[in-house]
Amino acid sequence: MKQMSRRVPEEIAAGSDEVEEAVKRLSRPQLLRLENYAKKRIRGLGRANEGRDHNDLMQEAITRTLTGQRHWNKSVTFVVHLFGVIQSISNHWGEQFDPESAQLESEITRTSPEGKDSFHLHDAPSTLPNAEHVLSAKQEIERIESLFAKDQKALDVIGGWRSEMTGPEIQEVLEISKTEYETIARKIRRNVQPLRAQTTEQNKNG
Amino acid sequence: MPKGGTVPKKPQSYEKELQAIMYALAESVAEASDEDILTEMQEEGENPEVAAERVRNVLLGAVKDFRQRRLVEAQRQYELHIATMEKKNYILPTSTGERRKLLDLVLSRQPVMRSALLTSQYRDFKDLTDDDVGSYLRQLQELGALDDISEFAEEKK
Repeated sequence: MKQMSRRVPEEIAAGSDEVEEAVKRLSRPQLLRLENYAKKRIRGLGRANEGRDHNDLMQEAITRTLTGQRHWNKSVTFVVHLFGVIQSISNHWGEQFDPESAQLESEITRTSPEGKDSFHLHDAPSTLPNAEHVLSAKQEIERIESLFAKDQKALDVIGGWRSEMTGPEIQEVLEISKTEYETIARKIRRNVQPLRAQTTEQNKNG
Repeated sequence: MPKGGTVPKKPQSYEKELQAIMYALAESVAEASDEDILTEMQEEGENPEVAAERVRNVLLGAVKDFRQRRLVEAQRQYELHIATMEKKNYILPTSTGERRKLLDLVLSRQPVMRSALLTSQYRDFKDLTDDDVGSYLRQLQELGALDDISEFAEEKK
């Protein structure tokens, strides 16, 4: 079955005034949550982010809303809509990525509307050959797990994530409540976050 | 699948597994409470208010870029249209006086056209330059607004 485009005509897409107002109404936690979410989606893409960062991802979500490529269904809040679009775009970038293709520096240099160039290569290990990428990913997983060496439940949750199990599936297998699962997830998130910042710094310094 | 034991793993690449971990962490962020989000930001040594406004500016920047691109495209389309029109061979009265009479006639018969063509700057018809008059007549001819003007039809013959 041919997939129908989700694009709506631009004349009924959310107007720029409407989107601007919605952005201005976002609360502080909503904005921080969006950024954090985008950062993790970008980090999850690995090489497939092709030098794009979380700001590129958030801006792409806004642009696609305005062009009608991603229709904002008003039955959901604007921030929920943006989460969905960010998820969808990052999935698409991951699917599009060809790990065998070489990249030119010009392709991963971004120019702002003011004409300023920025080079995001240091944020993505895209210059490393495949084997080193895999090793890097393996090392990162091992480092994450080493943080919870004495916390079997956290290790089990991480193991479930590695297997692409959903939260409810993990809860069922581990026989834990949703609250307990969220507590464990929060602990993992708070311990991994400083580690993420450290790894990005190491990648920048080479 | 054994219950209460270690979660079983499917064989997959390390990159895919790291992606799955990061995506799961992203979902936990999406479901985190406001309090947790603010606390975690502070624990990272960032001022939540400053960080939030930075994000807002990124999003508003995308809105601004979209608007600018649309303006540039609209301007480009308009210039292309005018250039196309100017290349065409329009049969119009040769004298400026006759052209002004024709334009006045058309606009008096079609008040909607008068509102559309004349901006507030040119509410007084006499302020239009000869070039403006020519340009408006070409546009009206494009729209077919001159087709019903018998005086103009005579001119064309």
